[in-house]
Amino acid sequence: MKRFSNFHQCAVAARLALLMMLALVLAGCAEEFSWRQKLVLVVETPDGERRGESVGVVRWRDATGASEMGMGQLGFRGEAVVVGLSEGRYLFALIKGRQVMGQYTLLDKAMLGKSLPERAQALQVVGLKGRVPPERYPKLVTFEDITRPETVRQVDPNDLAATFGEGYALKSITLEITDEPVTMGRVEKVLGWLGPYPEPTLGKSEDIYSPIFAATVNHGDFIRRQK
Amino acid sequence: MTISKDLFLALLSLDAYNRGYGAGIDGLGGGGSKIGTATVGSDELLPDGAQAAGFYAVSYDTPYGTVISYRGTDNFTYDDVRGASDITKGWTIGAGLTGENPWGIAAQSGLTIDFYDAVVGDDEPYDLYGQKPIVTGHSLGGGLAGL
Repeated sequence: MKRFSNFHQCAVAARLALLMMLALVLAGCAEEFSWRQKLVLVVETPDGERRGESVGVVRWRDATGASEMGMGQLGFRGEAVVVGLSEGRYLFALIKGRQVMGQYTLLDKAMLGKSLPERAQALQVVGLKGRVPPERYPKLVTFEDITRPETVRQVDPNDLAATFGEGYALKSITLEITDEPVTMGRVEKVLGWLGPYPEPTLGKSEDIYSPIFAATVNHGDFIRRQK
Repeated sequence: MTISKDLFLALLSLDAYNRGYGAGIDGLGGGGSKIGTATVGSDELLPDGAQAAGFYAVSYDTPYGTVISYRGTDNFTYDDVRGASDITKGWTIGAGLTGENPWGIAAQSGLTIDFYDAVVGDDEPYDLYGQKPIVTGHSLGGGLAGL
């Protein structure tokens, strides 16, 4: 019995070692590109302009040799943009879409058909700056009660007044490649309930196939933490 | 034009790669969106720590009942946003490991069960007619479905 147990353990260990070696080989084949980008929101309010900005890291990796087809693994580390408004209200620009926002904002349309490495190298230029096209705007949200995540509400970028009242309007959303440090901590100061995992949603639905808005927003839409 | 059940489940197996975090295709929509006659369930049932283990699954409401699709290998290496390596957290299940170790090796096995339990909820997974959620998946996802 003991001899069988030792053999089984050796077999498991051998298979594990083979898989680990395969992972290391594949990891060595990955071509990776990264850059920091700053997203800035400017909002007109009855009390003047308010501004919020956040610097995050975008990473593009081709670990499968498919970069010539424009495919790869895309990632983002950073926070949502938070704009402080009057009366204790806040406007947030969520993270989703941030890893591809640069190519649609800062590159010529002709570049979009190029390979992943070509597009990435074109984006790794500090100082590149442009207005985010409306179709690539981040999702904007606010909270009826900032201490209760389930009160999250979507904000129409074309009609901030409908949410915040007369005199509120989105003036601009710009993106810039930068060498500034990554922003961390601003969103957590405002949203004290953010947890350590990105998966939890802000609300629960009675029917997950007809989810409420809060159930479509995750903690990970506000923060992707640095290691 | 109708398609066969097997083909439809195969499509849902691939669809799991394109929903949620690290989606292969951006912008397909989350909970409540449609793919053919199936309605996508929201991510609110995804277990905590799923992304850290490179795990993702999605449930669908379909004419065949509830379908759970487990995502296959989409990350050979460690990516701090896309998730952990599917090799160390997923493939190692095939070596007989179960995730109950300090390094989280084969962690996707427990998350597979957790997601299934979350979708089934408090209801019995079987009814009088033997119905239970259909589980499907491509590649590693198929292996997780077979657990």
